[in-house]
Amino acid sequence: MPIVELNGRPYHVDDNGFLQDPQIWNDDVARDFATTEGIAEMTDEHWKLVRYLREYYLQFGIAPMVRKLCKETGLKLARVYELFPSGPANGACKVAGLPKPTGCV
Amino acid sequence: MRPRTKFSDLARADREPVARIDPADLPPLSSPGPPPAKLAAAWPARMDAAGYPLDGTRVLAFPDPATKAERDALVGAFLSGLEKLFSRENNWTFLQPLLLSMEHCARCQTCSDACHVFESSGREELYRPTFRSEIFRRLYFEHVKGGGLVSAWQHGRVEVTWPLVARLGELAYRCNLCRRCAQACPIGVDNGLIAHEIRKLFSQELGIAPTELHASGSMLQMKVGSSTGMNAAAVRDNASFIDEEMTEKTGVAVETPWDVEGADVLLIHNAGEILSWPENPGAFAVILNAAGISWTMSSDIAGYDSVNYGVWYDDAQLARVARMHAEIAKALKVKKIVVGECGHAHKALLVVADRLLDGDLRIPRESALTLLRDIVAGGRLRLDPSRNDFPVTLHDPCNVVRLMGVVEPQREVLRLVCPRFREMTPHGVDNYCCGGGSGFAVMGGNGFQDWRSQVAGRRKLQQVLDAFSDCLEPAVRKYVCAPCSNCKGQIRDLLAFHDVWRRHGIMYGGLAELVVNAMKDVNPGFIEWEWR
Amino acid sequence: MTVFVYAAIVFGVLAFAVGTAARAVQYARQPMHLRWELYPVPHERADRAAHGGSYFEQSEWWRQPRQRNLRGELAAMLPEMLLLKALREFNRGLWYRSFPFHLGLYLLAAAAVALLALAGATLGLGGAWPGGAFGRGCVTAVTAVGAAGLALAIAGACALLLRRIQDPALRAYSSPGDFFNLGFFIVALSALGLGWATRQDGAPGALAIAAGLLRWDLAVPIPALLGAGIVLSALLLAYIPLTHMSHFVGKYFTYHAVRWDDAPLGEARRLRTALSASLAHRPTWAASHMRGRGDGTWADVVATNPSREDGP
Ligand code: SF4
Ligand code: SF4
Repeated sequence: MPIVELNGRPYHVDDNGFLQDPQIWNDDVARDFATTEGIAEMTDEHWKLVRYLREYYLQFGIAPMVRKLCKETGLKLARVYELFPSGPANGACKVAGLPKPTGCV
Repeated sequence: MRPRTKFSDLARADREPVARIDPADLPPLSSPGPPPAKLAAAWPARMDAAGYPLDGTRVLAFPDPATKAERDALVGAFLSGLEKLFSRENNWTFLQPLLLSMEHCARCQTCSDACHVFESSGREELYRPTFRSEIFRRLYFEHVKGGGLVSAWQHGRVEVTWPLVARLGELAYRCNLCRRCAQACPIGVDNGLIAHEIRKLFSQELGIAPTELHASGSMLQMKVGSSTGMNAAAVRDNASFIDEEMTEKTGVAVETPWDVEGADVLLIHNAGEILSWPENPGAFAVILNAAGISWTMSSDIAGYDSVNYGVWYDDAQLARVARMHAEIAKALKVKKIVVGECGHAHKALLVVADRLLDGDLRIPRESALTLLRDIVAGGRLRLDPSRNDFPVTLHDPCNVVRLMGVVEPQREVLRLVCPRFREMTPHGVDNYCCGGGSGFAVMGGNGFQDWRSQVAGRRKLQQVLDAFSDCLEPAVRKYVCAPCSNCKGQIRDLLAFHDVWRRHGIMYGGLAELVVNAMKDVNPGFIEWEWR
Repeated sequence: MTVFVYAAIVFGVLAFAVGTAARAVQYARQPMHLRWELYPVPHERADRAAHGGSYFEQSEWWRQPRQRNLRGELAAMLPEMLLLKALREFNRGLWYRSFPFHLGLYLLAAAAVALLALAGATLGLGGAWPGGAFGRGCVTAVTAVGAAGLALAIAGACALLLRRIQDPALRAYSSPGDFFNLGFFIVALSALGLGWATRQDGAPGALAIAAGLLRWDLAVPIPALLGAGIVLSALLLAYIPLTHMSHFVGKYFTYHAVRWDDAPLGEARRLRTALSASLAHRPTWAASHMRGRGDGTWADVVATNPSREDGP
């Protein structure tokens, strides 16, 4: 299991660089993982997305549909990609400390 | 010229990749405009030091034995699995085809030119369809058939060491199981089958399979109901969101019926559609309701996810999931199961598992493509094809076409709803795989996503560009119809990697969406030209 | 000498027949496998076979009668067998070498059978083949076919051997046995051809030897080189079923029993019986998810949900 060091803190991650244990997530973890996505600073919009993902994950155990994410946060998909260049699944979920989405998604 | 990779290279004990694919060696793509920067940069710089690397990417996690005894134990386990593959008790499911493919190869290499992976890699020897087969064949003659000097002289031999075994397992995941090579073989030898059997050996004996296919694939599906991790509550929540969206968008009230006993049709989608391409299940709901079909979806475990990853790597998992699908249909007392736009689910449930389901589990099973054809060609919808006034080409999912023979229904639909439909070359049963086949589309770590965008999908991308060569400017919106979730996932990643939407305006999607987009009774503009 | 030649012929033919039959029986006896067909399947209804379609293209296919289109199947088989169609289509360069070789072998086989028929007739006619135009014509025809077969097979084998040596892709995948096999063809058939061509006036020809064989007449003076050619060719014949060169057997099964085997289980009692027999086997796969929680048969394994303790 690979370990990455972000801002001086070591994290266990999977082969795709996703946080191995979603339980240990907090705002600092989000900021640390944001650096791997080329995000210099977490803005309010970033947080809005990340918090929605987090809440949904805690309720249903998976990431929400992208469409639902856009609708509930009021952000257009293009904007989501601007905020998280590798996209909602690979970028935003990683920062929110969700496991990598599985299945044919 | 890089040196030709040899069989013995796989046995190398150093931690260097056996082959390095340099993007500069790959066949050029005929796409005007500058290539995106990452084309040359992102890959294969990420080399993996763990285990015995093959080619700079990896999908399997192997134990890394430190002592000779540990290594010998692993090799021993491999050899015992090898023997089981050739025994009736353990492998009756594929013994006959496997034996035939073992004993008759004339080593004529006719199959090589049929393989898109080999061709698109700049003919890297490692990916030649016969490369892994030949190693496997030599092991078979030596360790199953008794070996000996005469055998070695007749069949050749390779030294069996742990690095060779580990690399062979990984190499079984550089083949899409598309079986285009088998179609070209003058003798009928099936190199795709051999890759499939090697995967089975590793999964069924050593418990080694890609996480995406096993732990968070078929195992997760049997645990919570779907390899996406959606449980029944999540899928119902998502589906009702889709119903709302569809109602809003089409102006027609859309409601998905759930768990309706005695319905004519149990529709099983690939659950990935619900999460990533909700307009596809949404379009099905619109069409089936408009055509007055009695149908239902199931919220039972595995009842809302048609995937059956076992068909790619493990017979027990294949049989179990197929059985669950049939049980659900039986319990709901439906007249038939209709498999949504998912190729491997078609092949798994309609073809491969056909000889596993008997008695009251023999529920009739049908393709959604024929059902759509019946509805559209039967005049059960009011259609205005001019709403689809954009160039459309069709990708043939191998599982549906070459491996199942459903070729025309999807074309009949397209000819009726898409005035500017054009074929790829070649197409139909001679098609090329999208590069996402056999589970690749859901696998991505360690640079594998880049590998399948650069190598495995390269031929398909060229075909798409060629099909639209008369209208490549981005202002003309174009649509690649891929009636298969896995193909869609791969085509999405492929187009994104090569920046094709921005450069050429090429979008992708399923078949049902095109039908709804042409329906007179719904608001125009069902297809949204927004990259996703 | 003569007795060796006769014995070799008998041995060669018998070994070939037994070896080939044994292979065929071995494959035919394998258990029913899961479906793994590959389209086009030529025994589909002609309109569907044309685009490689299957009965799955029909709505509610299980309600439709299934028709097997035997003519389509034959139309696919014959060009494949006689002309090596797939090779021609997918590997023309090799086909130019392989086709003459195979055609040569077919002609040789035809000539051999015809020769035996003539020899048999000779015996029936009291020991001498009639001389007239018809009689001589028959002999000339058989001779021509045999000679052409020999020439084509030798030339083809040489071309194949050369290609295998020269083409790095072929060479890398060849075992010593592959070179030997082609060499064996070249040596045996060349000896046969040379022995026949260089036999002295008055020495027995092919027909005389064949008739001698049928009568087991040890007095027929077979020339040394021709005798050696016959013995080598007979040994070659016996050797073929031991190697992948028996692919003509394999090919029958890869096509009929795999690529074109689209029979649904529901239709055939044979398949249903085979399924229950197979489900009763006890697999010994070692991975933990492969275990059942009951009697350990395949039926039990399939009914077990490895992700849930509480069963299926
Ligand atoms: S698999 Fe078939 S085409 Fe390929 S080398 Fe073997 S015999 Fe030739
Ligand atoms: S099955 Fe497809 S990917 Fe695999 S070796 Fe054959 S042609 Fe290549």
